Amino acid sequence: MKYPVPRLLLGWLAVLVAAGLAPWYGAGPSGGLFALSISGFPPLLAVLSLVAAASFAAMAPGRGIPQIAFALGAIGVILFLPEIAGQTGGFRASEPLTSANQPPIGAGAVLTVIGLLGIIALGLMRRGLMGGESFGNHLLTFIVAVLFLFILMPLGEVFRTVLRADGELSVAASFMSRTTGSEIWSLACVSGSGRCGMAWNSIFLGAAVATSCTLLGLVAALYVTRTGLRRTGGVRLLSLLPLVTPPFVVGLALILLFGRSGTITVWAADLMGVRPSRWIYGPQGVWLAQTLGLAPLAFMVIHTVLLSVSPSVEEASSTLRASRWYTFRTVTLPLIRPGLAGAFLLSFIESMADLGNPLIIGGGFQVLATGIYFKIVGAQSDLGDAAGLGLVLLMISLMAFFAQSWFLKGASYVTVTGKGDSGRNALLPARVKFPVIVITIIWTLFIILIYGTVLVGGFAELWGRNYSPTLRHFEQAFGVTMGQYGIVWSGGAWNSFSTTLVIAGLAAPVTAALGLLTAWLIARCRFPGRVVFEFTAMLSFAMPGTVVGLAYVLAFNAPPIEMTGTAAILFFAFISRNMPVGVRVGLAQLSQIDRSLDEVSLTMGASQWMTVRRVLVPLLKPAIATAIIYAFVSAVTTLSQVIFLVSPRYDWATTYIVSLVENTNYGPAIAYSVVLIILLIAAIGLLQILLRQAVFRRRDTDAPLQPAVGEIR
Amino acid sequence: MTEDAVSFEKVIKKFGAVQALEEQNFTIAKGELVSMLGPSGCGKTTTLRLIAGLEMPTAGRIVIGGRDVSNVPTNLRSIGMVFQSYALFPHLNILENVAYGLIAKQTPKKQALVRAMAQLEQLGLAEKTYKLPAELSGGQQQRAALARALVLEPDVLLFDEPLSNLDAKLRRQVRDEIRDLQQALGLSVVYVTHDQTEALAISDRIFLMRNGRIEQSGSPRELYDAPRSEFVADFMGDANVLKVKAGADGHVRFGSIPVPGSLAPGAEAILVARPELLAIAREGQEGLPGRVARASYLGGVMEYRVETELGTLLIADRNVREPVRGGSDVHVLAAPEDLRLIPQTTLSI
Repeated sequence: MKYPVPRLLLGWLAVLVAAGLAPWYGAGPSGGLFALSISGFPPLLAVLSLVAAASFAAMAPGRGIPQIAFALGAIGVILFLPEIAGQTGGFRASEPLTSANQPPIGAGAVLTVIGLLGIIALGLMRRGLMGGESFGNHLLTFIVAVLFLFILMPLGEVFRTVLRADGELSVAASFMSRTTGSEIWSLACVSGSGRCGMAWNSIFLGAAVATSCTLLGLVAALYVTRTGLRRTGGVRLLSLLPLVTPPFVVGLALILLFGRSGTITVWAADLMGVRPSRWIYGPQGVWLAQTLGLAPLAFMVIHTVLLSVSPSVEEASSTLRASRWYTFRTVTLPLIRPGLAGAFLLSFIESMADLGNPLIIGGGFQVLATGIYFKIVGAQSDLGDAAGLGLVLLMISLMAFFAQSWFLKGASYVTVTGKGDSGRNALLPARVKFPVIVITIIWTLFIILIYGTVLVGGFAELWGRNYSPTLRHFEQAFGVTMGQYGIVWSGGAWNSFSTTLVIAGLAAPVTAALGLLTAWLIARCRFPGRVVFEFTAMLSFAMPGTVVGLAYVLAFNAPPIEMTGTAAILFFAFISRNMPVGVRVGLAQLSQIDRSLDEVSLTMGASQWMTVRRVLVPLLKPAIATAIIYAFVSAVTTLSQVIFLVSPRYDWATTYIVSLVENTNYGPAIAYSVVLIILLIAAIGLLQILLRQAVFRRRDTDAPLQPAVGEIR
Repeated sequence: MTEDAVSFEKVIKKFGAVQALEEQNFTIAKGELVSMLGPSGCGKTTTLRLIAGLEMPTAGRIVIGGRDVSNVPTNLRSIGMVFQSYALFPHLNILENVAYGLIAKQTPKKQALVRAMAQLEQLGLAEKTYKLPAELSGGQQQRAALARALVLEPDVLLFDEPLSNLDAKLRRQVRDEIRDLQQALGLSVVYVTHDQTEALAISDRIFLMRNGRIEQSGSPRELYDAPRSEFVADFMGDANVLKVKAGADGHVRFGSIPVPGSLAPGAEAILVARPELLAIAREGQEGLPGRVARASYLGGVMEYRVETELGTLLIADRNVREPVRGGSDVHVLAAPEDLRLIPQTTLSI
């Protein structure tokens, strides 16, 4: 218990010394903490003395409280010096360095914070937290710091912005006008006297989408598990496709099919001799696109729950003289009711969060997500109003999220105990089976139609007018020519494509590691505040992408931490947003690994770190693969989260495609989407291969991604 | 230096508001095998995990091998533990499993593997060295888990219900192996079980636990023959537990047989008699008169339920050739020293 302390302490002190020499600011005055504070700049002098106090406290005997307090104080001064936090307008180099005029922090400050976190971790070890183990305490300290900096602080910034007084108005009045205006909550459309507010639009749309998704998901899940048909693999595969597709691609395909010059519209118009209409643009189009895009999620949730209904209860029912219909109605359906509720709320949340589809086929129909978008990038730019809308959206999502976890908790009573549960699930009664088969086939055909359109669309000269095949669009997006100085990446998509691949590729393993280690802390370690820790770690999951983007814009646009326009802001946004997936997957897998494996490792003298590395990591391989791939896929396909964070230099694939669509440049947009989808399918394929190598899986009832995603949600 | 392998001084363990363990004071000598016996929830596993450091005491001192380890984490204690599930690492082969602890303690890899190999040979697992745990039978897995704990030469070896995943026949064999090994190597062992025959067969001493405290400790014979409470009597195998009352002379009588020990006149007490120590007499007037309510043939023994004035008695009789028929009037015989009185005041509940 004692020996690691001195060695680690020396390490962290070395970090702090190096930090004092490194340039403190990212721009403006050069010089490290030592130099700048000696030159007499008071805030940095305060930081320096607190750092010194923390270091000395760490070297002196004691129980750790002083070093933790001093280190926290130093971090507090760095982050929250009141004059610089939220300062707008940036650093004015012409004016002298004052506490109200400071540039964003740089390497020196970042290193200092890292060193101070190390000191805090050592302090916690001294307090005997988690048996004084260094690994657990360091992990906890650094993850808490990440959660605080990249989730809680941005979220706090949203609240601060909503509560900032707007011109003449008082704080309360500004708050009310930003969160309760008629633009948001009007119900005029119900009486037919005008438009409804964005919040109601979001809620109505979400409810409609959730209903249709749940029904489709139920039908498909019944088709796969209860019809006794052999060929269900195709349905499963097709239903997975939308998951690897950026959500708005479905909307894009709908435009190609049903838009004014869409294939089907033109064909139907010719047939009936009427003018082609724009009917697809509007809530109905958004509804259709979201239903097609989100039903697979509902399918997965319901499928997982249906599989967990023990066959023996259905068999028992039939031995009690119940007909198939009676069994279905009185046993199967009630048992999966929590799953249905979960699927409904999940589709609802996802629909509320979707920005792409309302943006491209919403017409004049505004939902909260698009509202935020226009408040930030549009002509009516107003960050306060955007934050207000974000807050409303966040609250609705959070409520749905809590309702969902509550319902899914209720689902636990159908979980099988594991052993001795053989038997065969009851088949559907004829009156249910027939519609189930028909609807599933129609749905499948529709998905084939959508993806067929996307695939073919990229090769058509000008969709709707001229269908002659061409490679022009791919060339425009991904052209490579041999120039005077070697290869020239002349295609317009290369910039965003490479940014997407590199940043998503870098963020995915970090996200997965952070999520899984967080899961380990939650599941295997005991420390005060664990429940709060878990809640915070899962919080960003309920945050719609637009809200995350908005919060990041608000929090990281000004000193002390200024990251807008950099690749780092994208990286951290993905980490904080997708981390909960890793937590869920990790918790699910850890609950499958007997705790005695960890314990026996400890009894043999292995440290926590060795136990994690040598025992848990090998056993968690499937979870690691799932978490990495999921983090990668969701980072690549997201639009809402990145749309405010991208910059000309670091553009994202999805935002680039949407900008092409907005300019009705459909050809290259579709070509680009096809490339993305193929890439993601390859990624999923890789996941399957990795999973097949993991020999130690317990039960393999299903396609590997399915339980994982089912549990994630 | 102390001769104790483990000692508990005023150890208390609470989980939140729940008192899992009342104040515990005991010592386990070097080379001794002590069983923690009791029903589930009695605190036996908690005690074991406290020794292992998998739980930390709420109060009190735990000393292992002369060192105060009350606040020392598991991985820095000199213990070895065999889990109920064996907890062999499924992704490592048997040799790697056994070498794991040595490598954790920074033993050079080559040396660790050599020592692990030697340990496996000692336990007769040399052929299974490169197999994965899943490829071994239950008994072999058990031995591998034992090898893994032994190779570290711990001050105390802990077993958490190690036989409960084995079938009945194998259980007896492995039990004996553990005992032989313990005696041969002079190991200090704490052995948790809920099976009293296992505890009787294997232990130097038994701690019988109940509701977070040690109800009675002693040699197997003491616990079986001289239970100090109804609970102990009942837990240590079948027992007839009868409520009795002393006569005016302060003595209790079992029919014509005087029960040793004297009480206050008219005092109530519990009389304990083991079924196999009672006999049935068809004739004569000796003993306690009664009527056979049920006679069951169990293969090796006849089991009778006899109704008497003291209550219904269970009797195991080896004479299966000439069973007494149900409804017969009989006398129950016992040697006076096999009848044990427990004064009512020591009873809990």
